[in-house]
Amino acid sequence: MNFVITMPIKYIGRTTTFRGKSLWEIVGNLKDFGVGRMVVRSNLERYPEPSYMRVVKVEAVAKNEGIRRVQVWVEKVFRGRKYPNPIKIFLASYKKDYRLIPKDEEEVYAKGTKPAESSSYEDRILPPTLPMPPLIVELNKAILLRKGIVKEVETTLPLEIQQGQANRARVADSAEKATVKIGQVACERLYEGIK
Amino acid sequence: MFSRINPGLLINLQSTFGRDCNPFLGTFLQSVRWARKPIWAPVAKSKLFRIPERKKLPEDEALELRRLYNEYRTHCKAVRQLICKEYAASVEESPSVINSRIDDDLSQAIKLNEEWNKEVAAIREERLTLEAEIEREKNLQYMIRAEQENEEQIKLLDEIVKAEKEKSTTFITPDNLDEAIEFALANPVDYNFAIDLKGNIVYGRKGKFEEVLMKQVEELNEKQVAASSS
Repeated sequence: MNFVITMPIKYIGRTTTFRGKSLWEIVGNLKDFGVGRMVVRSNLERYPEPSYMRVVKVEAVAKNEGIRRVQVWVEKVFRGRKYPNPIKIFLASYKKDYRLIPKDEEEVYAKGTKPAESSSYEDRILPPTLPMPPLIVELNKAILLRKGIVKEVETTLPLEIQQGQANRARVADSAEKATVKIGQVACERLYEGIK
Repeated sequence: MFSRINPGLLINLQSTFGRDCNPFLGTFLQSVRWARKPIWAPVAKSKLFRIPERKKLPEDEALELRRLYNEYRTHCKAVRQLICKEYAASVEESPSVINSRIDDDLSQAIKLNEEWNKEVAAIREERLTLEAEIEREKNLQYMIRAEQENEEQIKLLDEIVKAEKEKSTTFITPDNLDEAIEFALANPVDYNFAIDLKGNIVYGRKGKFEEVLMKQVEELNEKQVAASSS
């Protein structure tokens, strides 16, 4: 008779938002260290667009550089957009947040399972100006007064957005209309009864 | 302890943390920042293995909080950019002005350097002339002393030569060897001497004290004669 003894799993410590395995746990068990396979960070699965990575190259690291870490170069797709160059994952490789996608599911996963109608990623257009903080307005007024200059004080603050791979938002042109309204309350419930 | 005190806060602390923070019971001043225990104190034993539950925020509330933080950060960045731009504009100068300032600085530095060089050169010149003077004096003294020493040496050598020449007249040569032998045989030298308790010395192996005494008497007589005659 075979006895299969399964110990009950008891989790210790604080819970995390991570779900899955560390990168080495996945990559170290695969043929050719999983080059060409699809790996996902479950952290990024909250977005409607698909985010995934394809392993390009794997290098083990010395023990003193972190026993759970591994150097992995991946082709990253973030919210349906592929990065132009492969990126290296090293510092975050220990995080138990990676998941291997089986080969037969890769195609489906890359298409994205969620409907794209909620995608606000590409069309986040911000207004070109914000209201100037009142303290700065008062300060500018005082400066002008001291210098004896009679001039209108600037009450709008020009807005510049630093764009990157992860930030596709942009400032509206003169012809465009902003889709993001600054100062629009997202939860009316919290402001009930406040005058 | 903190000298700054906020009564409202203290009352608040009292209501929150009990009588330990009561301003009217015992300790009046309380640490405001770490009201209960210092931050470096370890976790209490009873709380050591406590695992706080993960807080769950309602979705709409989380969304609202995220919106507020995002807008706050956007605002802050815009303000910072504005201030940076204003500062950059206030200090901006044309390249020609900057270049001319650099040139001015350089020419000023070169001028100053030349001045310093002149000063240093004058000091150096003075020092070098003084040093040369001292050196020449020293050399002169050295030469005079050397000359004197040379003369003294020559003098000494001359004297030695003179003495040797005088001595050479008494040297025994093959010519006067026979005479010297005869003289030596005729005048044997006896270095032996005897001495008595009074210190009288008698030279020679065959010398006699009587002769010595006689000689002394004669000398005394001569002295007396000389004294009386003078």
